[in-house]
Amino acid sequence: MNGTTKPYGVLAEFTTPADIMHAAEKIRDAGFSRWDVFTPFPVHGMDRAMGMKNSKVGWFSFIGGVTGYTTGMLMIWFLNAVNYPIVIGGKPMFSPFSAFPPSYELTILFGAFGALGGMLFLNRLPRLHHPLHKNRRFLQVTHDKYFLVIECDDPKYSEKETVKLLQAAGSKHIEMVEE
Amino acid sequence: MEGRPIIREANLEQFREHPGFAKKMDAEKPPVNQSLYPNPFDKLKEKAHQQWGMSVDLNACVGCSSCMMACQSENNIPIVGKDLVKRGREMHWIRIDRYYAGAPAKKKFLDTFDDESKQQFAQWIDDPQVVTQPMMCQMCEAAPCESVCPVNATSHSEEGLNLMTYNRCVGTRYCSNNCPYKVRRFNFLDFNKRSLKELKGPFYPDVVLHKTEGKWDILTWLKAPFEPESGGMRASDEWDLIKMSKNPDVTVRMRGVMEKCTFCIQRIEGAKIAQKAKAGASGDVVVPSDSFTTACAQACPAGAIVFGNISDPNSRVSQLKKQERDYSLLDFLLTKPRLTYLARVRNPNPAMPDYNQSPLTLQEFEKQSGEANPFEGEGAAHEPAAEKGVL
Amino acid sequence: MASQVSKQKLPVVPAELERIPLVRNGRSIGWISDQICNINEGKLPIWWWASFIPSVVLLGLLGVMLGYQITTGVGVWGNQHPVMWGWDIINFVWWIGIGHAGTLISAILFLLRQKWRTGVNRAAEAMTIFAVMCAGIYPALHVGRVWYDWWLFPIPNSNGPIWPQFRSPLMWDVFAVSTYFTVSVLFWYMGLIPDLAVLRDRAKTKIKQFCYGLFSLGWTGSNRHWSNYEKAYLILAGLSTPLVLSVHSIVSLDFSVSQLPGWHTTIFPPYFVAGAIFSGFGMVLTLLIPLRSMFKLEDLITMRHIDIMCKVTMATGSIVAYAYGMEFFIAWYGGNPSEQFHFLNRAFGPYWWGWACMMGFNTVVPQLFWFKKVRQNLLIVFIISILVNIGMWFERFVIIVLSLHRDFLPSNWGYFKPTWVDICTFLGTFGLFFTLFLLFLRFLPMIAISEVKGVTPQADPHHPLGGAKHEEAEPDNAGDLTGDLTK
Repeated sequence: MNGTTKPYGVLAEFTTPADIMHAAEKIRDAGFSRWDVFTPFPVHGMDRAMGMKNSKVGWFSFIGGVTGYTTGMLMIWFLNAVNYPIVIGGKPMFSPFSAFPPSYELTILFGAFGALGGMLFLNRLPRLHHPLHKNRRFLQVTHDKYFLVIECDDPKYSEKETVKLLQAAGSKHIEMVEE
Repeated sequence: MEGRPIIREANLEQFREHPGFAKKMDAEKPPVNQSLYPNPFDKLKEKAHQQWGMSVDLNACVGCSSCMMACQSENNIPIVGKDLVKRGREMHWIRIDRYYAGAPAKKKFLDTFDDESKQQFAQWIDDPQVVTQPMMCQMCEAAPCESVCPVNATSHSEEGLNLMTYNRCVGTRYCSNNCPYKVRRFNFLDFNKRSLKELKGPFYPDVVLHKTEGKWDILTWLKAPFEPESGGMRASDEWDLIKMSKNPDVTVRMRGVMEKCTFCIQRIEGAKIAQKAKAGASGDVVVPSDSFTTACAQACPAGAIVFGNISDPNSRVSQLKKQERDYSLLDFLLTKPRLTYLARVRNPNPAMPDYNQSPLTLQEFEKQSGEANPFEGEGAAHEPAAEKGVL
Repeated sequence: MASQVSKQKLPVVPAELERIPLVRNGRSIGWISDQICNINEGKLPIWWWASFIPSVVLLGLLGVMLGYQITTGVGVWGNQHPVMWGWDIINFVWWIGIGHAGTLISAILFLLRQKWRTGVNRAAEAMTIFAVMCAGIYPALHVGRVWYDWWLFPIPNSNGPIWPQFRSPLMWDVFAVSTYFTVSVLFWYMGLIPDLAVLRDRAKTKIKQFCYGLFSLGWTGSNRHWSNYEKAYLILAGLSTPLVLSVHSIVSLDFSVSQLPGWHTTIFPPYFVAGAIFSGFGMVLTLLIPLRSMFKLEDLITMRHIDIMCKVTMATGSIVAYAYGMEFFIAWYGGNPSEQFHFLNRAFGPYWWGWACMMGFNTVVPQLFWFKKVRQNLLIVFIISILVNIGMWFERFVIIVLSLHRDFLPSNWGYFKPTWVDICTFLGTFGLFFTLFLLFLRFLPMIAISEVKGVTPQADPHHPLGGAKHEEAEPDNAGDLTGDLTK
């Protein structure tokens, strides 16, 4: 092994979603914390298998939506009733009904930005350089293979034991990934 | 008029029996509900010293179109040429609407829907009665055009005028769509910058085939599309001549801008300024009633158009609006127009061969509208709703 | 415990009750990537060039026509007094309506857990975005003074500053259409991230790897990422659903808020939304029927997909037919003479032929989809989908032109005729649409690769094909997932 490159983690390949889900359960039960599962599509039940909590994206979206609605209402109220009021056909200066459509649209717009932005933020994306992208076999993750990666930084990581654990979980191909 | 009570008229005996017939021809109005919101115009009105209104007497109007000529000269209205007038692009702020009433008994159901060009050959329209009606901006207090403009280009002044702000207009044309009277005119092309030849140019579906005086239009245009005279802008000395004919008090509108009758606001403002100058420190800024008038009212030889201050009960226009013949057009839309009409009273000679006991438009109204006969019974089916702001 | 379960005989599902698979012929997950990416990686077929070149020519025509209109004036179109809105607004509403099917497929069908949407949602969303672009040209450029369009936004200026007038439905349109476009792009892009990663990992050239890599943002397929991604997708679907319902409602309010007979009616919002979905599905069928055979995607866009889309078309067409009947009934029952005249004018007036097309193509033709033989005949479905769109164009024509050309005062009545500029501008928008769509087909995956993979039985950890052992297999999930969307 080249002494200058640090190992990033151990990569275990699986061929079916059921296999990787059981493996994930084992790794979760073994108490690892710096590990992840990589699949070509979201596998149902994997979040529970990994012991993950609910995603926080909803909060970002909610804040975005509330901001959008209040922005819309306040903006229309301020612009049409306070800053430059003009008599238009005897209509009221501000009415929550006529101000509703633009505010509603802004709710959705800001909520959507919150959802997408929140997702990218929580995922720490874009991240164009990742040690796993350099691994040739890992390119198959978008095709039809499933991978489980345990990082060397994990406190429970041990060179021999972890590999044995993954083999017991059913992986047929295990290799080290360089940083 | 398809049986709609647009021009209301009666013969003299009918009028004598039921002088209030005009108001009885009102369509059923929706109930005027109490609004949750105060009407901002009510508050705005308090700032003004006068409220403008107009009355048009259909009895006096003969359809001479002097008002149109006067308005055109006064307000720098561009000429668009015969071809564009045929395509519905004329720019007249005031127009004389002419309605031809034929014998309703002869009219069949499908005749109503005929294309206008075919109506001149229809049998039922032979021997029509003609009625004329000057139409300009009604200055509605609840103007439908104002609330649909996205950029605040049309608003209401404290004196009750519907203001058109040319420099703000983006040209979405929604205001014209919403105007039930269709008094708004749009500058579709550079009427003030391009020669008539250019305006007639390649804008038609039959551009490829259209000929002027035997020559293909498209070839003429192709020969010099950007040259003055044959295609492009006007020659500069022609433009100077046209500029001299314009009224300096009135904006010349550019292409893409909506325009309409303003009740000659330049004259109104001129009168207000003159009054302020005269008043000096005394603060007597109310313009004396009937001291000035709009171009159309000034030109009308029959005195059919009367403009003035409706908050002064002694002005001519207030007196006219008090008459029983007074009615507003499309009242059921609750637009509360400041311009009202006085119903027409005919006095035909019974000895004449074309004598009708009741005017043909009235006969048509009774037959087609399904509304109650305005001459039957005293308490007619509809009571004119007493609306604020309409005198 | 385990031995007891393994001895239990699992119930055998009879053949007729087996769920119809969403991916035909039991294709593997890898096959799905290969088949879809082949379109991007293989040689461009001749028919692509044969469609692309005329589309670009039409796009050029659009540019020339719009340039002519902006420099000369709105007068080059057929608009006149009183018909101030003609083909410009007809085409605007038509294109926006078409866009709505894409968002319905992406968002509403996602919330309704309709897994079949995965075969068509990517192309439908792309169709939405390009249709909204074509639509957006019209409100921006149909105004008299295009260079002042920025006044429709609340941007500070030196005139006061004077602001837009928010009570106007055109202002609501500004917000609605901008939001619709933006959110559609965001939703489409988010769906593309994993698929761009697929293309990145398969890229054979440096440029492709760089471009796909840049736009896939370094996606690794990490489940921690998928978790946030799924939540964001659900939220965007949940936001897009009220969005698609509101956008076309707001567009319809352009008419409802006005006073004209034929326009001033509260039925417009739901009627327009149903009509939009109706025409949108027509366009989706028009696009996908030829594409599935030309790109050999019959296993992914199966006859079941076509069948369901025909049924949706018929259902929304029936709602539209109901709305027509209701409008007419209320005009009669309500007793408003102007409204009654307007509806008679539709049938007997000078534009009766437009009304006849509208009625025939929107109410009668889609009812043919009751018959299974019709739904399975792709040529007939293709023709019907085109007729549906033509019918919906005439519906907007009838609504806009007929209400404007004969309204309250007969002195204002006019007759509208389009000019050649109107017609060429409209053809030009097709150029824009097809240029963009053909480019999309070439450079982006036209089917949602990861999503389709996710609905195959091979992807289900509880299905035998997904690797589940006998003890855990739950056969009534064959072809379906336990679908725990809300985890």
